[in-house]
Amino acid sequence: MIVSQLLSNFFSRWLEALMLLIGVFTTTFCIGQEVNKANFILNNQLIEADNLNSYKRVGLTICTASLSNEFIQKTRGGEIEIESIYDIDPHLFFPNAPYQYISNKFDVNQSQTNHLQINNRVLNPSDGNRIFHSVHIIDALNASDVSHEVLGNLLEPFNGTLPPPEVAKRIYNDATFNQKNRYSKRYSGLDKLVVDSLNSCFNNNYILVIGVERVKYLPKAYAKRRRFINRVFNLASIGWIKMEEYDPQRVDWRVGVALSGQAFLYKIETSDATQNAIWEAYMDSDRSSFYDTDLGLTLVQQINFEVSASASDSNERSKRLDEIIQADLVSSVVRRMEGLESNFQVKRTVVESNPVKLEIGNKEGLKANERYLVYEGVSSGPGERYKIVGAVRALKPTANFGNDQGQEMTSKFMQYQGRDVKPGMVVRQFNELGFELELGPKMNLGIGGALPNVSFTYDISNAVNLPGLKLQGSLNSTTSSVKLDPFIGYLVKPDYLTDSDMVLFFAPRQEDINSTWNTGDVNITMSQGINFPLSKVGLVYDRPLSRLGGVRAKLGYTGYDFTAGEEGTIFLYESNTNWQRNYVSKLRTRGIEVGAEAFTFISPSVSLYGGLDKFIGRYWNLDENGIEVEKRPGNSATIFGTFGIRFAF
Amino acid sequence: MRTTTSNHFIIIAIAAAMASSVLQGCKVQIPLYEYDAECISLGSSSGLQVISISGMGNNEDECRTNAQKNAVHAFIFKGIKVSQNGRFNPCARERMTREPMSEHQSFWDEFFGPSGSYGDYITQKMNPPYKRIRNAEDKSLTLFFEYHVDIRTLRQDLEREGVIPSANILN
Repeated sequence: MIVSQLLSNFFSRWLEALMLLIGVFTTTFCIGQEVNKANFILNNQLIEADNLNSYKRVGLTICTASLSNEFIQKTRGGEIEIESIYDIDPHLFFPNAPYQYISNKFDVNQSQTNHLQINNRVLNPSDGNRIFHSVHIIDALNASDVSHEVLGNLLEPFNGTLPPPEVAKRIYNDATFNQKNRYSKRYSGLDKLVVDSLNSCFNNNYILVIGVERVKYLPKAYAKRRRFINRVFNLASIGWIKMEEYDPQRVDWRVGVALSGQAFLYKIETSDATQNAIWEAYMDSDRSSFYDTDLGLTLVQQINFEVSASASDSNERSKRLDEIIQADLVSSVVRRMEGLESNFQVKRTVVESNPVKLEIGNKEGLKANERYLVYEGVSSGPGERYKIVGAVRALKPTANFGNDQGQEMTSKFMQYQGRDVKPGMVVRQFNELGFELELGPKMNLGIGGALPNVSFTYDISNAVNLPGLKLQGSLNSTTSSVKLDPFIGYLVKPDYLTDSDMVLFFAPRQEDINSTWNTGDVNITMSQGINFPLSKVGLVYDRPLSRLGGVRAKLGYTGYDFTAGEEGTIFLYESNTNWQRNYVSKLRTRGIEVGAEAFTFISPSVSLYGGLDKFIGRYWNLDENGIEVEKRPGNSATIFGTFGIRFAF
Repeated sequence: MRTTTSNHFIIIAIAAAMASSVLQGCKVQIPLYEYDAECISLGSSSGLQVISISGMGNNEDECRTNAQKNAVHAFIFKGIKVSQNGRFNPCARERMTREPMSEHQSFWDEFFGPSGSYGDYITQKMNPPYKRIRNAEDKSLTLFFEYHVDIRTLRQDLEREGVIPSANILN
């Protein structure tokens, strides 16, 4: 009986343990499956395989356009000459685009026809301003036969041997390390790489037309202020001027100017007849049939742009303002087109993981901290599609321009979102503005209650040309006040942090707090003036956890020093006991903030986050005599809980 | 009490069977010699050919092993098809033999076995995959590699073994 009872007890406990184990296992398995399904549904970012073909360099021709339908007809020597009523300012319609500013990733065609005059009148119904229309630009491009001019450039250097020089250059730019290594050992042959490259040379050519429609003249005050102030205050206060009213004499190129308009991206479409004519031109050295074929132009993207520049933007005294704005104009338009046009986005296969290494470098226009999405091929039924599994950022771009035979030219990337990245997965360039926005409540778990919390991060590294610099802050609003809490952070990226992200931040803060927490028993109102020194130094460490998204650890030292008198006042009162003391006071805190936050990846731009922050510190008050009195003896801890949704733009 | 104990045994057995079935379900039976092979280029030295080859498996190692087997198998039994850009195809190849594997089953079992010599004809075995496809239904994996295959030595060795006809007869 006893044995039986012992056995029963033993099996009962053992069975419980086993059932618990199976339960945990099954639950984990089921949750895993559900998470996978949920990810599949939430991500829903499957794209067709055609959009992730290996990266091919594209040819880009940049033209500028001007509206010039106001003419004066003059008769000189019996011939009628037509002149525009205003002179085209070479500063605005630059004769040669500043190609060096669009990185090295495009093959820029040095087209002879780089300025178009659009003579048709199209008015914007909202403001009556004359605007560009795609149909008229295509007419102008066809009238100048820019398409044949662009493709003809690929035929011209042909010297009778294959591959021709332009194709050989494209092979070098497109090929991966393995392809290049193989190709160099057997250069004379025509293999798949040569044929692909030759076809891609003619099938991947774009014409970018930049048309300025309006202009702003900037006052001298613009030049004296800093860049961000310009954008927010000064620029907004100055009205746009139609191009018809544009007066080059009024523009002081030493001060500043702003331009707006439209940019159009066209792809040169080649037919089978064109392809055959191109091969004939190469094989038989007969180019006549090529110039007889029709080349189509398709509008693939159209955007509005607005750029401005002032003398204060220039770090180099020698650089002229018109050069700056031309560079800004071209680089910003091309960068936005990169986000829209799939063929402009660099795609590569992951060569190595832990850390992630990709055969992308300066040659492909890679910049530090640039974001790439990671895809894994999925076969379901006929065909393949690609599903997003994570995101990586470039650490330090490799200068892969030179002769890299014999050594691998890869750049390291840091994974910051998603599940494990494996060799064979593909990445695609995914430009972002560098702005992150967090929305969600922040709860004081000690006192209770929740405050709406809005936090933002803006990557200002491009603006100030200092990689890694971030501006971060939060906006905590209550019913009675708004607290702005900005701090500046610097991204620390030593080599050993290959798949992590560490931000060292310093926060000289200015606060205007007037917050109330209601717990039923105690109301605490804190009120400070706007000028008191605060300081906060900390370290935020991000490390992604595979399959879960990521986790962010926080560690910081906080020293809040609220000064007395007119600069800071704290009121504390307790309502239920009618205890109310208004006194000029000084609150000083010293403490350590520790916290952790987990976030999961929903889509390239959206993630969910949640976490806990704990403040361990000491508080002192100053009494009426200015003597420090420790408010709560010993260390005290406050725990904050946050969760919400994070958007990345 | 006896009933309770026997019930426990039954529950344990059922739970173990369930766990076993779940674990077994994670492994997918991979079909042999199902692959896509495409010519990429001639190799740097005579007799070497570069092909793109796929390999299926439950993990990367299995995929890599199967891809290497497939690369050799393709040259022997299937031939290398003309690539999509077939205007110039330097290495389109007829298969080395028209006989099925069953003709010399024991030899091929050993040749493509775990310690078989199929791998001796492939160089740059540790090349990373250039493409990765996961089957949405059974979660199996297909990796694509570029391998350099020494077909001259392969043919010589197989002819010596007498498992493929001489090149002169075939051509």
